[in-house]
Amino acid sequence: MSRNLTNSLDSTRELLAGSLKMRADEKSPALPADLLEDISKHFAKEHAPVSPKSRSWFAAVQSFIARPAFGLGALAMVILGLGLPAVMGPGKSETGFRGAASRPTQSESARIVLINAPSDVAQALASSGDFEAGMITSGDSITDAAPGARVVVNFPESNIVVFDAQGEEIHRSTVPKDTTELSAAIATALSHL
Amino acid sequence: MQKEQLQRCWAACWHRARRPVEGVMVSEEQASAIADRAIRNVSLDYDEFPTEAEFTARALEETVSVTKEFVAKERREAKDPQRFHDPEDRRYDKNLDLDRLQRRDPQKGFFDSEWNHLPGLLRPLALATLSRKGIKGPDAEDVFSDTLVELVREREGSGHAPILDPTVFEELIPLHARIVSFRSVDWYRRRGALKNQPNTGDSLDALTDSPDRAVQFEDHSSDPNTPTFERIYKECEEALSPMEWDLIFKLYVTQSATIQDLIGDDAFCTKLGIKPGVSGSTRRRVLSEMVEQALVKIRENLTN
Repeated sequence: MSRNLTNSLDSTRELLAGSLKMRADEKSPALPADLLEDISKHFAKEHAPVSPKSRSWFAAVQSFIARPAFGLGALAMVILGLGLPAVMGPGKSETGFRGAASRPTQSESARIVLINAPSDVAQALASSGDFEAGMITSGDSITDAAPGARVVVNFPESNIVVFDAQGEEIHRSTVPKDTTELSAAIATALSHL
Repeated sequence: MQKEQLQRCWAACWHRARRPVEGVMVSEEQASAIADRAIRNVSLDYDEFPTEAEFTARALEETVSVTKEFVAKERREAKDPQRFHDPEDRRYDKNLDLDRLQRRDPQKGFFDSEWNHLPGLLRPLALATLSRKGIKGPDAEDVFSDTLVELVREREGSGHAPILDPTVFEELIPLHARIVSFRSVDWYRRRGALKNQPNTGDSLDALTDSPDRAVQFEDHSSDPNTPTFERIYKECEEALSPMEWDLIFKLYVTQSATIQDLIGDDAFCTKLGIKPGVSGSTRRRVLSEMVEQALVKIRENLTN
């Protein structure tokens, strides 16, 4: 082979030949049997043929979500979703980012309006933990209720009326006599939104 | 993975654990324990056995690192810098305490009195090297002084002085030898500039490692300045394909096969992309071309 290779590569061959730095006057002991066994097992385990198994759809979804590409894709979507509208600005697009028809700004969360509620009831509702404190407002009449999706608890008329975002009544029920059941009644009313 | 591959890797790691650096030697039992641990550690990093070249390079790297740390720790605990020093190494009288040499005070710098002994230890080695390069007398003394300053000069960027590089004292010898070589080149450049003429004639020849000139170590393979396989692999890893590494590793590094063996190995030739049934001469030509290309890549990467 040396004849076929250029002589200029001799030094590279010599370099490689001496690169393990093994001394001819010293002999290494035999390869330990347990090391051979353990390393062979380690690599054999990885090479063992895997029997084809059908995965459940849940496992498939889990596996898909666990992929790094999914995380990167999700990150890209978030960046595009948040960053692009900010970069484009409202002046560049009359229609907004998500569609041709722009809609008036609406609060996504429904409100609970208590009309002429006894003070202890309003306080009890706010501190019950069943609803966010910011959701609950009080007023003296139905006109105090701001537009948007809301549940109006009218204590003088003893009814609970649910209005959708367009202000249309979609559900009506009575205020329970037992105030301890009021939370559950409001929650039921909210579920109609 | 084949048993022969692990055997070769074991032998290489054992030899390297026994002598991780020129001048250091640990016992055969300790070498076995370190080689065993290094191979196990490296195997954990892989799910599948990589090329033999890659696995061996990684195992050797791990072996050297673990052995040097082990020796440094033992010396520190025993307060004996001479522990594990190869008795056959007669380049200098005895090791100095590396921890003390590396001790640095923010105000005083490298102030330890151990530094008083370092010039006496390095001087004969440096002057011999400089003499071979044609720098003698006061010039050689000047260059030598520069090299000592260089050892403690903090590098730009990292702010790390070269004296902090070694883990064991013996590593300081080749490190200083490299600095001596660089400084000798600078000396010739300065002299050439002073004379307002390029470096020609003897001075340029003196800078080359011509085989006609005296070399520091007669046995080329034991020259600590020649790169180890793990270093070659690290520097050229990307340049060669796994198949090229396989070829080079078999033919030259472990010399576990000859070109004739490979020509007759149908499975190996098929892996290389040589179609079955082609003549021996064609196989030889294809293999030789691949080998030559791989060697050229290694040479170019090591030169850069």
